[in-house]
Amino acid sequence: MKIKGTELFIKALRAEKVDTLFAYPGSAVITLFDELYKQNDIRLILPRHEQALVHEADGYARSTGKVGVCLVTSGPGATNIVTGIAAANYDSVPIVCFCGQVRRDLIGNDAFQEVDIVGITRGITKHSMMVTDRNQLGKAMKEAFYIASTGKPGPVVVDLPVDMINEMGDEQYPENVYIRSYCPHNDPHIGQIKKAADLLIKANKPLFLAGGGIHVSGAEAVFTHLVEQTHIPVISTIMGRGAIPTDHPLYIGNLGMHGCYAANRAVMECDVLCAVGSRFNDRITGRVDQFAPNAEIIHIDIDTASISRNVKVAVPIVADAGQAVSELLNYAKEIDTNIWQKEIDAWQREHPLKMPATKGLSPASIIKSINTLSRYIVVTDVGQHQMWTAQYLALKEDKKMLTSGGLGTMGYGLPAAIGAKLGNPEKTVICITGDGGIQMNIQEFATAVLEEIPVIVLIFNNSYLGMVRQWQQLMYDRHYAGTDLRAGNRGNNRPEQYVPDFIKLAESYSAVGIRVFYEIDLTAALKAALKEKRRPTVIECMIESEEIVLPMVKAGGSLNEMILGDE
Amino acid sequence: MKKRLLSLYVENNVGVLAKIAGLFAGKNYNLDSLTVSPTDDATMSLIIISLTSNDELFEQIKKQLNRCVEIIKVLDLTPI
Repeated sequence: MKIKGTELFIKALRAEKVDTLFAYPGSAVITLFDELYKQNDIRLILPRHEQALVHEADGYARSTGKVGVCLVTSGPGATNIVTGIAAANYDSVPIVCFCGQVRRDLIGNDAFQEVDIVGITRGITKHSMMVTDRNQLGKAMKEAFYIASTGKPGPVVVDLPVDMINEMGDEQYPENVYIRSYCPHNDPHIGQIKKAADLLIKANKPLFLAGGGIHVSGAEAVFTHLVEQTHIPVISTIMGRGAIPTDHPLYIGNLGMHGCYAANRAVMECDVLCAVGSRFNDRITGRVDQFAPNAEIIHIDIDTASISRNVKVAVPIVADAGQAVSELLNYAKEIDTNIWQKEIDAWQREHPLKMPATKGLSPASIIKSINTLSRYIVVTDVGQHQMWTAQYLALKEDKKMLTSGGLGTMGYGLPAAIGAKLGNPEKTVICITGDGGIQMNIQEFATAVLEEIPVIVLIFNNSYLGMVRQWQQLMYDRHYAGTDLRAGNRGNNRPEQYVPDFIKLAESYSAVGIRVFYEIDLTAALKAALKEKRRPTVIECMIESEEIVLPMVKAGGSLNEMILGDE
Repeated sequence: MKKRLLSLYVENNVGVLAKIAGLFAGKNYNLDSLTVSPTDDATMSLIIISLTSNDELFEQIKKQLNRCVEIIKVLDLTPI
């Protein structure tokens, strides 16, 4: 039997157990929307911008482990996905994004709303393709889901010309998939695992570096088990935070540009460093020729191209983080790390993470009040608030954090929080954002209100694009060029006029808006927000304008050269 | 720096050459020559690339090419 491409499309989504589709209509996909109208299994979420649409699918995917599925129209609909796709690509998030395309006979004619989206996204996707043969549609969709979700996950863009998708053709959606040019291998090489175990057993100052790959692989429990079996202390990247509970006695903290003193010291002093699911990004290594100078490095990563690219490693292990760690458990032994741990503890006491006391709200105290809640997903935007969250937020099995770590996309927070809440309605979802970041996708309040998604949005309002301003403050003589969001009102967090007034803005969307200046008001506001079951709440936290994130290692500096702020 | 020769068996699909050229351009790799030819198998093409690089960069280039979904096989044909 032959069926329409649009019918096969729905059939494929059902076969892939897609329950939520993030979609924005347009002329090239209108027939697909008509097909969606006729069914009730797949919830259609209509965002207000395609960039936010992809972030919503991203938040949904990261928080559930399922593939986030997007549908947008051709031309501007497709170009608007670019930032969302790049963010997902950097952080290894499985996303399949279907784009409408003009008719096949018009491609290359500069037709209305025609754009070469496969070409545009080639460098920022795991894979991208155009389906020109209706009888290949099922196979192409199957491959897209397979490629997105296996190996190192990532976004896949599938371009669908409108006449192809409307054509009658093959009704089969394949059950199995084999791609001769794509065979992800997840199993570690046992010889390498033994070498790694030997190195760790002989070490005096061994250290684990937990990266985001542990979360992607769902390997938190087995990794924690390995840490407890070996007694090796753990530092983490921002993406890897929560790989073991942050209150675990063997957890030290984040390393890198805004890492804690003890973690950065530990990496400089350790003699064996075992990195799991991290690509040694410049933000964690600092000056790379001075990174971990005494250490032999073991590197577990699923991506061969990440190995020995930024830092030279002694033992590379190309494998899925979970499988490699499970295998390592078979060979690793308990190591006496007491003296090493005491050394690290002394560094923690010497320079603990702390923030200056203030009459008003301190960022650390806001995050500490979130820590008292249970079962949450915190989604951040990008900037100072993100770093404070990464420093102070408590994480464990049922307390997760989502953040745009690789691309550092402002505007990620609110839509990703909406996606996370859609995937986890039983959990409290909190978006921590800034007065800059929230304005990059603020239109999504409409989505949250109309879809009755009760996310809590904490806006850290310091009236600046704080992270850039911090650099200007520390390195450019306080030349606040282009970073003052309340121009001419430098540093005043009780302005006469708010632009915008986030409270009125929330109310205009029929959301709840509360402005707070003190901790006691914040507690009350959070309590009220937790009671809201059908609409989002904005809590605007007025913080000190010139607060900075410390410690800090300047870009390209050595991890030994930390600005601590308590000298 | 050394002269290198790579041969790639790739899917005979639209855009594969652009993918490889884009990878070289986007990552600032340089190549000396590139040829594409058909093979006995109509679904597969052969791409031969010659380039000059040091060992580390060459390793990275091979790894990056291996990651591409439509590249079936990467062979190093550099004469020893």
